[in-house]
Amino acid sequence: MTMDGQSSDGFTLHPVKKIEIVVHSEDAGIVQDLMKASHIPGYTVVRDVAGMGHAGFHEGRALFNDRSGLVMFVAVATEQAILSVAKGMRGLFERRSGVMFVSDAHVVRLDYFAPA
Amino acid sequence: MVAHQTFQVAQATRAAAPDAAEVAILVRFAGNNFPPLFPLDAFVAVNPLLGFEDRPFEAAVKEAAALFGARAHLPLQHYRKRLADGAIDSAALREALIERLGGPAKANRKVARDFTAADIALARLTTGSYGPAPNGDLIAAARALVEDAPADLLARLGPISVKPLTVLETASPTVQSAADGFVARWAAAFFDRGAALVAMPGRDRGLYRAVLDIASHDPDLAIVGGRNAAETLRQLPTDPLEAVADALGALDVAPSDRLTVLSRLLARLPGWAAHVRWRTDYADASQTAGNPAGFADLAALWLAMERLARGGTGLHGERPARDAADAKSAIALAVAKSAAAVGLDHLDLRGVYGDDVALFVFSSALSEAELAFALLAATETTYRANLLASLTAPERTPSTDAGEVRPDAQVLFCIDVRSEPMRSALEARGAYQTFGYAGFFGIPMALTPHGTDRRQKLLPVLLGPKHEVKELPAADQPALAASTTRAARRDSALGGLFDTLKKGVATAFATAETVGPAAGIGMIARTMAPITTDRIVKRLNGRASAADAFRPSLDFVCDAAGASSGFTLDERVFYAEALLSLTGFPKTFAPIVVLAGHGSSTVNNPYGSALDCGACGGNHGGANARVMAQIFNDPDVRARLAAGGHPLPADTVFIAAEHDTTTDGMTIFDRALIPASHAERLARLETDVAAAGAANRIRRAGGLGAKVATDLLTRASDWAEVRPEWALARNAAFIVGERRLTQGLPLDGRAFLHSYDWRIDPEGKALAIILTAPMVVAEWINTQYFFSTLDNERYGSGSKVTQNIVGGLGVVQGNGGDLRVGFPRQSVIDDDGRPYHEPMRLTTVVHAPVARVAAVVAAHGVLKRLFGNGWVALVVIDPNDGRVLRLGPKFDWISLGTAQAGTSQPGGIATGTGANSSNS
Repeated sequence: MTMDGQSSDGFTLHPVKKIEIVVHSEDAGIVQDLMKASHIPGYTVVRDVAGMGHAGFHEGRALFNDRSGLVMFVAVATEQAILSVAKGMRGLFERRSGVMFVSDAHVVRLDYFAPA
Repeated sequence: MVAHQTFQVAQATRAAAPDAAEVAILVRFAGNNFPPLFPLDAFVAVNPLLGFEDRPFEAAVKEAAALFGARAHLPLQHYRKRLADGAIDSAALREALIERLGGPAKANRKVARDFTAADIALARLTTGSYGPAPNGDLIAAARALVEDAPADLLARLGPISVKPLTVLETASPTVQSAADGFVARWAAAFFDRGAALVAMPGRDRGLYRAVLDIASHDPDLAIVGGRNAAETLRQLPTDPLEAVADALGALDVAPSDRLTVLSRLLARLPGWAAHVRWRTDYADASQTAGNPAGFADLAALWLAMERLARGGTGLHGERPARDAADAKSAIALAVAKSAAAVGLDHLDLRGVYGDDVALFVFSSALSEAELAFALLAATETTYRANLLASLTAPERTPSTDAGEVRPDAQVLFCIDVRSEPMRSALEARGAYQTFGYAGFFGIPMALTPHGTDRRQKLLPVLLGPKHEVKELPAADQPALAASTTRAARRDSALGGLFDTLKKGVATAFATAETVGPAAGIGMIARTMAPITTDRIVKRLNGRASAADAFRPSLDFVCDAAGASSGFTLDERVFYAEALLSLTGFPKTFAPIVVLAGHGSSTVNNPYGSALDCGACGGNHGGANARVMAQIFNDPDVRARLAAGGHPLPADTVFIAAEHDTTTDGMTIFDRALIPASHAERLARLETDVAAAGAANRIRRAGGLGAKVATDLLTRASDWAEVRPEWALARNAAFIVGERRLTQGLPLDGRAFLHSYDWRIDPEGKALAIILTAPMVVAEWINTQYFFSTLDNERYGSGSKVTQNIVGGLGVVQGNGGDLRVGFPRQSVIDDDGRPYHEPMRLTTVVHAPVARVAAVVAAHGVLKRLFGNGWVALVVIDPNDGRVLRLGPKFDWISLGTAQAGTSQPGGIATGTGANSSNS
């Protein structure tokens, strides 16, 4: 089987785009709105992530404050939908810190990731 | 490949109108200018400038003032009075001015004759418009200096100017009023929480669509947009994001202005925007189900108004040239007045040249805002210096927790500033140790009271509930539980019947005639004898003894759907250990450990929940105390605590209580669970608590203008009382450390006290939790009081006397308009019109090694934001070497003095702003 083709047993991998976004927890709602506006049908949220950035090391969520720390979003969708998210994120990064990565990915159930 | 695609995105964006994704970001950022406005049933204090915390304090205040049309500072007259009263140290004021003038080198330079820039600025500040009037020659000389001054300097000295970007900003008052009235009226109808007899139809379609569908006949539309207004509305996109994008394009709003335009439109009614912020970021899904609305909806409505108002006309012209000329004249007059105040004449002014021109003009014409910020800084420095001098005084009263003597009782209070005087009064009466901990006792829970489906979130709004807790009939109180349940059902049924009859078209008048006489007698009774009436009512409905009839259940239960309630053993142990480690609880446990939550007593008060526990989401804290007491009394928990190094004596009993901050009484819960062996000790403690409460009432009576301390009890039951207590007014400090740091000090109910022992927190984990949560809540409270006092009309909710509750979610002034935010006037302003609350930014004092504190700050963005931008001042008392240091704006540590080495009771603190120290 190849990464963009059909295997011998009829198993097909379809090319899609993936976006990974890390933002401050208090900006999570903005990303969720953006996903919705871009018709992303679903995404994964990883809360309380930590990491190193330009402003130093960011700790995960504090015990009694859900709005501190970082949160990561992972979404897979059509190129058009992911680019819509990326465009919107650029507006967010003009005012807030964070990172995003766009990469190629493959899925089996293409219809599952179609725009909502 | 990715880089290529990114480039394409950038190209496309510059050329195209905003799409839905870009609009989604824009409306959210516009919405972030507004703090969440929590509903009245659980009102929580929030920084009104929460959306501006990423900017330096002063810039944020000015920017917000421009957006909201608010004041940026208190009138200078207020500060001049404080200066005359001695509440502002003159040395601190001079230092604040020196800092504002650019440091000692500039401030101490002689700019005119023998006068330094600081002299001139001080004269400007203290004299104001009361000094000698300048003559024509002096004004002309001043004008010449102003003409030579740099333009950017003049811009800083002139008034804050706002360039209009929307037609609504410059439209006639009639049009503006119609547009505002339209949005406010339909927002109130849409967001109503069951108060209206007939709900607005189509609310499930969202705010924007629902209003478009129903409001086309609203007469205000024609006032805003002419007779074709309704038709114009019908042609708008029905999706709010599309509508915003379409409007921004149709109105030809430049990309660089889009966010500002949206912000300005939303800020026309900041209260309703704040309500949407609450729904967007803080409300449960169940609280917004059935009538969804986001900032896109609100922005789309406002843009519709803007489109109607614009109607073919452009923005009204400005008068930039004339404004600039006016500003120059005003600055020149200020320069001349300051010169006259120190005795300079026109010849002296002609002798000012070179670099001194800008410095002289700046120091002699400092704007009112510049002066007010200097006075604010001096006020804070004065308070801080006095506080630190007290905290580090060598003659401090020895602590009762210094030794291993077992106290008679230990009482944990909430960190709330109202706990501090009560703690002091109780400590003075016997061998009692007291502690401060967040009033939800670290239990992030939601409670469903017995017999209701109303879920109370009893935790700080920074957190989401991690545990559902059900209140169940107490097994040891079956008769009481049964009778209370019956009484509750009866009251509920009668209340429902009365409500139905009252609202019924055919029954309303008959109901009024039938129950009117009885209600009249009740009114007279409540007016003439409020305390007695309150007691009778409580006895009749069984509430006097109802608290013990039901009990929050700890039992862990998981239903078939996977929903769980209660706590596992691991979770119980976790919360118990968290309390011990975060408070630095000593190894010696008293026979009685009381966990005292708090709440207020008030009637007929829409802001009643604002008096309750902020750490419990604007609710009473008793339930959390009851849960935590049960946890500590659980034998399995105790076994695990012992294994973990926290052995509790077998005779130590945890007791739940609630401090009534209005009456200073204390309710003991679950008496049936307290062993008889502890009855005598508890009785003694209760006697001392009652005496401490009486002493605290006497202390508080003066501030409330009460003739006798018992008046405070009447206020709790008086339905006409607009100020049952001052609550957290005058709060100013957040102190993290052992009680021996503060015990015996007259802190006057102005300090949040969080217990903490740096010796058991080598990695600063406990400190990080304290600073990132309880301190943040304290900062929200502090800033809510600050800005409600600064401008009660814009950041507060105005007088209670003319308020009306709307939709069960907030108040309006009069019969409609914007939802009002912040505290009412009576919460912060005294009857004589002067601020009772002294607006000061929070000073946080931490007793811990400075390197540890620095590491905690560096690792948490919220702390860097609050301390770095000047929203909170951070002072560290280092127990290792006695240094007292303040964190500077560049995260440098500024020495404020040196304490006695190796102790926490150093010998003296300088009152100034200090000198730079090395980074730690």
